[in-house]
Amino acid sequence: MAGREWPLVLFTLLSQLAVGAYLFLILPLFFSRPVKPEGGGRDLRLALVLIVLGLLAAAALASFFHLGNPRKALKALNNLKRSWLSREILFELATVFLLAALALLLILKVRGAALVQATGLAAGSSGLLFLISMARLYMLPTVRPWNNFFTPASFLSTAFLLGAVTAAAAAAFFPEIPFLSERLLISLSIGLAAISLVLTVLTAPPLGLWGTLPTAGLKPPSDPSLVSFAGRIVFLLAGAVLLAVQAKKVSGPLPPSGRVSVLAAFCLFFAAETMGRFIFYGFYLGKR
Amino acid sequence: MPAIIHQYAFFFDARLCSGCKACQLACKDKHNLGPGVLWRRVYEVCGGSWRKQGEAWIPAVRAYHISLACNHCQEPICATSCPTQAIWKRADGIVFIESNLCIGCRYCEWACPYGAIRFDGRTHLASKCHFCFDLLGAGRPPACVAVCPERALDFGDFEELKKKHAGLDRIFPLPDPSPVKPALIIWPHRDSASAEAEKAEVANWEEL
Repeated sequence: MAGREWPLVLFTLLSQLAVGAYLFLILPLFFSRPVKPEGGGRDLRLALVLIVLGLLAAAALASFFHLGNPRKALKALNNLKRSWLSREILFELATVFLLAALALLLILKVRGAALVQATGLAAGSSGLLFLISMARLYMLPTVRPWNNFFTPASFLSTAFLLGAVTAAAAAAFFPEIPFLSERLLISLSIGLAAISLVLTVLTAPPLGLWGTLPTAGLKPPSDPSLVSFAGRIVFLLAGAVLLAVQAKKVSGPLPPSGRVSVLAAFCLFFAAETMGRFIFYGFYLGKR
Repeated sequence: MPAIIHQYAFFFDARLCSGCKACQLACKDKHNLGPGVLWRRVYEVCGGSWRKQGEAWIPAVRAYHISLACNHCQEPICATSCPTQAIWKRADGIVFIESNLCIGCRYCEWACPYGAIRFDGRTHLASKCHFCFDLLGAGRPPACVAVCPERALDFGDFEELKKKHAGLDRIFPLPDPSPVKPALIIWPHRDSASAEAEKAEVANWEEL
């Protein structure tokens, strides 16, 4: 059963949330004026980088529950030449290393914005490569339901959707901090939710594009649950409507009720993407 | 990975197989495999129905068996996918799992289109047929081949086997062999040609 794959669902979702949030929420801050939380204290960027590192650590921890022999996990780097799984681990470690270096630069208050910006950009690029290799490893030529456009499209849309809505929520709750424009982030989140919605409808029965419907073979057929597809569609729609209503209602910064709506939209999108990931594993792993 | 000197292969005659599962049991017994771990599996494929012709019912039922282990593919995707290089191809073509390198990530299990790689719940590692290389070394056939009462299984050098039993590398519902090039020769059962059109399917997944 795809339900057995919960460590991988957590690993992929938390990693995608971390990288998406870094790209939409944190990276732009390195190219704006320095920000301090009210009452002084350390640079807010440091706190956010540490949260992303925490998310990546939680994702890595979840992945260990998938392994039969986690004590030898570092051997997963042995086959960089041929295995996308090895490359995924490499880019994951590189992203963590670069984010840790970035945190260190911020802690040590190193002078020179260029160095911080370069490290920030390198961490973002590594994060993107991590996302790409994560999608690529599922695209095995022997696995029809995964070896297609849907896999990278769904993985990247999850990362960007969760990242954009996280950034929108942060911008709503902390209007004094120069995050990306709240309006832009809300519009982006609605657009990305629409993409996820289209992908869900196209892969659900009866359409089942890209070979996602069960076929005869030597492995138990997949067992797509219509309830999961319907639930995902409802959650995505509800989140997008909540954001659209808020975006239309007010022109300036969001009022407290609007902030709650953006937070609710984040929760709905996270639930929708969690269901989507179980559906993704279920396309192939089916009744086992 | 060593250069391949020759390639061991299995031959399976689907016309002779009665689905007795002696091969499956001999393999399980020889290698002391745990519950749910089957290095060789016998698939029962069935479909079709009865058709009414006038007042008579005519049987148009399709049923046959496929005995399948690891096909020790010429381009083993399990080996290229394995992140630790625990799976490699020996000089005799046998695809082998180096257990002490396996981290139990199950990526090979996903990649193998034949379901040949089995996760062993006792060791938490991947496992699969290794062609009874110990028996081969002693000049004896693999356990599954030796036990088959119908003589539906044979083995040998792939090129020699091709000369001896020219056959197919795929019958329904085996996957497209082109991405992995299995070292397998099959003589098809007469029902296999129409099985796909008749929407035949594997009868009981629970036993596999």
